[in-house]
Amino acid sequence: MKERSLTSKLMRRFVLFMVVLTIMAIPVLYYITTAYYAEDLTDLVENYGIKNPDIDLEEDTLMGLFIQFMSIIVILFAAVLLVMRYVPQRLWAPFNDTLAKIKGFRVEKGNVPALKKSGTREFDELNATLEIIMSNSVNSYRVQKEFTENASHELQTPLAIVQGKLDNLLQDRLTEHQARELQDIYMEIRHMSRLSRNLLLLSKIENNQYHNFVSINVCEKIEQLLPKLEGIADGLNIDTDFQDTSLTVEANEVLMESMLNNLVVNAVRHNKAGGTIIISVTNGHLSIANPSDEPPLDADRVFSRFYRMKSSQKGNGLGLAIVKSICDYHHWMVSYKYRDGLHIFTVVF
Amino acid sequence: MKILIIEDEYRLSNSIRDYLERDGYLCEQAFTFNEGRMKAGSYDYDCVLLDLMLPGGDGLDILRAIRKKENPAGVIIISAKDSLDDRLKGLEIGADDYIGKPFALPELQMRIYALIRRKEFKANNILKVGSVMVNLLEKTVEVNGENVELTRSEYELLLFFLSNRDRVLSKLAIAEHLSGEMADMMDSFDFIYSHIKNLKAKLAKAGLRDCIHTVYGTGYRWKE
Repeated sequence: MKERSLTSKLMRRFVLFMVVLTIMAIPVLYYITTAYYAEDLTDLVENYGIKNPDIDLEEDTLMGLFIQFMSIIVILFAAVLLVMRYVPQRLWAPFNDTLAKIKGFRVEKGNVPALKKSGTREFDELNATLEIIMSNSVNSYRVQKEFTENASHELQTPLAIVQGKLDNLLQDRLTEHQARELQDIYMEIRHMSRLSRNLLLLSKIENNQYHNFVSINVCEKIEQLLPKLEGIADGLNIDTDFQDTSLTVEANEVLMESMLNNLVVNAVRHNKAGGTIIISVTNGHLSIANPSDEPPLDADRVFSRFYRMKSSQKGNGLGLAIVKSICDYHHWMVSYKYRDGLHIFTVVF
Repeated sequence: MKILIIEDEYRLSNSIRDYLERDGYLCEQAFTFNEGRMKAGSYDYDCVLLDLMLPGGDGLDILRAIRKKENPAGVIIISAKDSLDDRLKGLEIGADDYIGKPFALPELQMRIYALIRRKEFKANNILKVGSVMVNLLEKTVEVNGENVELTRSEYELLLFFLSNRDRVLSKLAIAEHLSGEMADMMDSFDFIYSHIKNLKAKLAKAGLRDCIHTVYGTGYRWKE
């Protein structure tokens, strides 16, 4: 297909319509001419000298001229209207097609939609530019994701080295001061390890690297996890309210465990001393609630990365972001609300 | 006990070697794929610590070579590739254990200890250290012939101490051993204090006093 500009395409179509309409109008014009055009008659009358005041030839001629003029205007109007009504629809179809396709474009999905070649120069240029822009953003998004993944990955080895050295140093005869300093270093190293592991997990979720889905019974999974809590918290009160014991979800096991761990540990961490944590599973919902003296959190930002209340600097600010990310990955809904002194997190499967 | 450490990062390899040699293990080191495959193929080891990303090749190929020759060495994969797929793949090919970087050396030692014990004493599920006797199958503990009731955490803690005797175990290493990923999410590790306290009290009641020593503020040490 030869590539033309939008203007030239429009002009060609307009001219075509005009020609067609004019040809179609020929019989009408012919009829008008023969029926009303009285010029020949005027000549005849003048040549033969017929005088009949009843026939006003001048008026008839004017009338004929007027009708002819009007019909030409009507044809023109019709042509313009028809062209305006139908031509743009056809001519702009590739544009609408492009629009529909780029509306569905998501940079995180990573696929650039194939845009049709239209043969109109402006649209082809637009498509080419859009394709470049889209593939560039997909590219830089991928590079950025890979960077996060590689960076956190590259951190693991130096962290492992430092931790190994510290484990060895701890075995030496140390003064109390040295031991305390060492312990602080050890804590910070663990903090960094955890941070880089969490970032790695987040970027792996975003890079869709968790493919294995299995059926998991939510209640059973929680029950497996609870004994481990004994190890991290003393005298913990947990009430479980499992009404929907058959609730089974299709999920990646690693992510499911990570989500539950994060939610439960989050509740333990912010629990009021001696407070009772309530875990309930009811028709398709899992909710974990803990009493706390802390004020309600900002429900819009609680799942953002590194969001923390000023009053509490617990955790590394990624736990709930991971929960959100895992829920998004499985198309679950997670929400936070505060009611009667309880901080409640709910997952709708 | 001979251990082969196949790890390209020599500083990490040296730390592992230093830590294990204090306990009387004989450590050999290999830093490249070829060196690792050659050593694993030519000598007998009780345990091979295997990194997966090595200069010159994939650590899993060394594992395949070891298993193909029906070499009985226990293999523990130490890798920064801490993803489930790699873990499963490693275990499927025949690794005995998998530990993700970064890890605490006492944790690694415990895994090695458990692995060698499993290999050496296949039928024997009794672990005897000093006056403590642990039945690994039934998860029961006897001190001086007297049964001691322990909670799950206390039992795990005792095993961790027994496989790292005379070592300073930091609170973090202990917490991580007890609760894995969950401990990771906690901000303070004071909660292990009560586990230690309870374990100490129960052992003392059975006549085993002062075996867990507090080391300044850093951690604890088992010394009978």
